[in-house]
Amino acid sequence: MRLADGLSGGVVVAGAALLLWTASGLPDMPGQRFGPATFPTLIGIAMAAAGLVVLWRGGAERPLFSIGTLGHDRRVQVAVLWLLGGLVAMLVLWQPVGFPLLAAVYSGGLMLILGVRPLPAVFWACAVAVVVHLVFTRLLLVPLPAGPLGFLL
Amino acid sequence: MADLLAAWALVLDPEVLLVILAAAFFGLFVGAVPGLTATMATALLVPVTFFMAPLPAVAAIVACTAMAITAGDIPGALLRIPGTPASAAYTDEAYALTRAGQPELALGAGLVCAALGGLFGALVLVVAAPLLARIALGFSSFEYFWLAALGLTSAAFVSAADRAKGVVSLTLGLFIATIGLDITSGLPRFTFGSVELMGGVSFIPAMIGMFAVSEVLRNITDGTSLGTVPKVNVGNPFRGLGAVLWRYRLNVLRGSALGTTVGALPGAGGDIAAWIAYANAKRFSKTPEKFGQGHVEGIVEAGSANNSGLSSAWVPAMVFGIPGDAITAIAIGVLFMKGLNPGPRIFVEQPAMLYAIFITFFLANLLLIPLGWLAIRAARPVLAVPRNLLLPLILIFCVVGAFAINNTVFGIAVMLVLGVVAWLMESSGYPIAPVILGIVIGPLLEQNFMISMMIGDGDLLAFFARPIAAVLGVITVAVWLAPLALRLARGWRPGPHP
Repeated sequence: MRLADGLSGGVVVAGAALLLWTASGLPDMPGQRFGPATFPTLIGIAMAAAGLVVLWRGGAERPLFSIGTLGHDRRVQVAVLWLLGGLVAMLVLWQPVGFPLLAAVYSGGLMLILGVRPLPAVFWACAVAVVVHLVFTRLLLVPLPAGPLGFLL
Repeated sequence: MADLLAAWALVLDPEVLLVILAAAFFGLFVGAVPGLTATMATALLVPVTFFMAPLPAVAAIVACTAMAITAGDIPGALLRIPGTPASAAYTDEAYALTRAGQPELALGAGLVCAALGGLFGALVLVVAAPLLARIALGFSSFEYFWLAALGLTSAAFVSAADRAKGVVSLTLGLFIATIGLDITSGLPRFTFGSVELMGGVSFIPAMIGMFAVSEVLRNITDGTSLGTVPKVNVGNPFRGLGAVLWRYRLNVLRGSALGTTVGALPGAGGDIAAWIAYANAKRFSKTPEKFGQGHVEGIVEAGSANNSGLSSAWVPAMVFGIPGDAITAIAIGVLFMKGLNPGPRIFVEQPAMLYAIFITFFLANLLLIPLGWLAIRAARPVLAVPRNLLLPLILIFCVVGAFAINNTVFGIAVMLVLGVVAWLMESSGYPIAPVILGIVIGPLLEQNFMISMMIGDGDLLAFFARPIAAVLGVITVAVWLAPLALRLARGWRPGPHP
């Protein structure tokens, strides 16, 4: 997925304007010439200047964006949706469902979408989810939630 | 001498040796898989180093990156797909040798030259770093401000083909670094009421997102086959190599020297060193017409350059705490996490630890030969791991790594958002390394600026009041103004008369 310079430059300039506006609301430090707003303001100015150069240079470039294989390959579309949607789902389901189940379903599902045969996909997804869970919880003491499989792991 | 003996005792600890070996194998595997970079290998390794003592943590990064860069030559030579960007400079040359029936020559030359270059870079690190550190002990916030500014400028200008896009990437990294509580006033900035953001954007989830998640997305969407199993056969990579290395001994030396110099520049690193070295090899060759048709001379010089650059990138990292490339930026993050604050004081306060780190560089580069040979022999099974199986498993490690740093799902959210941003940026021609350098150097730059202004009572001329600060300041400003001056000079040049 590629954004043309005209579009990406515009996004950068808009982002810089938002940054400068937000920075202008930061309070000064009493008795000091420079305060918390100094650096964000300088960053905003540099970002806007660089964004304007990109925008000016690529203004005539068309199309404004191309989505490559995402536009026509059904498998790639589903894979990207699964990859990103799955991570969002993890944020919500992390505690109630637990890491081993989430990891197995997430990686196994993505393998199936990408064309791995069902048996190896299920085997590798489950094996890696369980091994990673055990290594990180038992050896490295990372509190990964076990979810409903807590009685097993 | 006592420090050196203590350093050897630290390195020869079985735990450290085991970690070096394991990290080396991990680096070899990631580097040999097309599309997965040495930076990604480091990013995936960091969550594990979080649970190690300082020395094995740093040793793991050193061994992993050296192996990954070298292993990147394998898919480059056999499939014409560079395993890492550092191998891209001579991939066509190596593949041409493979097509001519000499894959072992391409791989053997790449392997041995990488080890020689790495040892050369490590030697320069050992000699130059303490000398520079002695000078740096007299530095104050003014000098550090300019060093940080110079590092960031080089990052934006050198690492990007397009300077404006390099600056955009850098400012994004600097902006991310300002999120959280302000270092001097304690006021929250850009937190939008989120308690999680008060502590700032965690560096490790950001890095995993920008280097690993974006790579997975790119691999899935780039349209190439994800399940390809290549058929390759490679003979003894060391056969006849002695004569080749003797014939091109000057190339090894020139590539190593150039790689060391370029690698030590902030923002440059081994990737750029390899491209310049390849171009140099062709320019000074007695047979430039052979380049591109399977000529080993370019591989010798560029192969030496990329690994020597990898070692010398640690000079500014260890002496000033300013990373030379994305990998040392990650390593500096690890050093800070371990309480080993990089800078000249480390040379005085923890010399044994420092020597131990230096020894790991030599060990890692010496290990390159036997382990690299194993990797070449095992090339077929490594290359045969289908990417459609590997990529989902990498994502699982990304998720665990992003969570494990603060034990919060907020890390996964940061990884997701920055992963998508990096994917969009990279596919639109914006470099990623300056973002990471901005995140690492940003706080250093701001903190030293604010301290300097408190000392200087708000007078900006104070930045030019000390001699070394003035020199660094003039160099930095000159680099900023150079593109404008060049443009003006070009504009004033008289055109051809009609």
